[in-house]
Amino acid sequence: MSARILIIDDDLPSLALVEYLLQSAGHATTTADDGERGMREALTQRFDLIISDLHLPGLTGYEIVARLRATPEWRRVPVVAVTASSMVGDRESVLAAGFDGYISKPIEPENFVIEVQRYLETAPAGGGS
Amino acid sequence: MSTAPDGLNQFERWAEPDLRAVLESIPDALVVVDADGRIVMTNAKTCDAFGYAAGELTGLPVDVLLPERHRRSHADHRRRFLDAPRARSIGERTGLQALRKDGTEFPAEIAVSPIRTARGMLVCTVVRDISERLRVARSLHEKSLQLESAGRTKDRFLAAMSHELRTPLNAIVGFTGTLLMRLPGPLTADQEIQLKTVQSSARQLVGLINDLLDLAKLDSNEVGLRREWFDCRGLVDELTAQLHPASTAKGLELTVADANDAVMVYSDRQILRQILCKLMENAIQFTASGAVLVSVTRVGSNDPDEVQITVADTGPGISGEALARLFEGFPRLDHGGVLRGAGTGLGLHLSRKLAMLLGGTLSCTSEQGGGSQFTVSVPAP
Repeated sequence: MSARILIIDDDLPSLALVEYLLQSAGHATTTADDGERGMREALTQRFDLIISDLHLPGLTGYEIVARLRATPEWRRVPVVAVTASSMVGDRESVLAAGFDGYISKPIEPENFVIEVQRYLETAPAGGGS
Repeated sequence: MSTAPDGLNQFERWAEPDLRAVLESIPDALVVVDADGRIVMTNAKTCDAFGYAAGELTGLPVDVLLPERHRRSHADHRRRFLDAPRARSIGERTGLQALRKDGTEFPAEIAVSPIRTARGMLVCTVVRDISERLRVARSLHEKSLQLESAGRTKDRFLAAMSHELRTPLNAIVGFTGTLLMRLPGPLTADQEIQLKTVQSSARQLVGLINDLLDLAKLDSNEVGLRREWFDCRGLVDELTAQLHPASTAKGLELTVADANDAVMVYSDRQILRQILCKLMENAIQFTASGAVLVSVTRVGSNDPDEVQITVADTGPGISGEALARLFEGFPRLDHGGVLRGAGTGLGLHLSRKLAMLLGGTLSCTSEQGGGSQFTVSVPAP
């Protein structure tokens, strides 16, 4: 099943990698390389899934998820954090902030698409409320 | 010579030369005052501390040793003390200031004792200059603030480094993976071999970065334990399945000894997993041919108090000297600073620290040419 997925990451090679993997799996992708652009995209289109870095110029991943969760229309769109930070408590703080999942960098390309698929399947249909 | 006749005379009658010498040897200032608040006696340290000539203080009101602002309250204190005299030890009152002859002040601590004499009550006060102690305390406080701030800086640095080091590795590991998955197209045999080399080196680098960060976190006591009941045997099976492809690729047999029931342990599963994973990966990495055998044993009679997991390999073994330094961290560094073999030895150093964090141990027995056995023991509890 093809899904519409928004990818937000300021590291362009990482952005290209995730985009390539998801497109190879047949998904339609939109990319944004900073937080504000990502937020704008998230609010103008309906996505089945948003994959976002945490440390971003403009708006952080945390701010993006907080704003989406505060908007009835976008409250239920699943957002997965993909981040290179892996300090103690990161996973817990990410999930507590409202993200639906956490994938740490470097990502394992062999498993990444499967993991994304899992988030798509467990997500409420349509992304709207 | 004195204008404070009674107390002074009284005292001087006792003050045999020996006793006088004893008083002079006291390292604190000693001030004896009569009931009217006149100084009847001091020792040499008093004159030193307050900047007076020897004998100059005798007969003066004790108020000269106090800053103006404290004199009124001091008179009240003295009156109350004389009404109900009791010894007060040093440090009972804080924040006191003493006045030198030149008008400067110093922070002081005092002890006060009543001396009953035939001629009335005398009050003996020991005055200690605590400026040096306060200076040391202040400097310690400043140092501890600096350390705290340095600790926070280090934590921020680690978090930033973790992020910065992993970010470029994401594209390296990721695109090597996509090529090996043949997503862009077919590969020649040579391309595949070379890409696998890139992949394994990149993974080694990720492992090294993870180990370094974990060590740093352990050193700053940032690793919290999450204990739960779990099946140790199941954990070993899970790792065996995960590492099976790597051992098969080298033609090694990776097995778990005598499949038996679950071996329950109350510990941190994630941390034990990390230790075992390292031991099993090492065994596979350093064994050219033969087998890697993992066994899980309960130690204890009826109520098992310890679970031991041993990873045994048929690798080259470790010589006595290297064995002694195996867990020290970076033991593979030759004297010339050149890395011998693969790995840095950091993994074993970290693993032992993690085992200790679980309240357990990690040890190794080995003989050159006879394989190695690594045993991790954890309380069951």
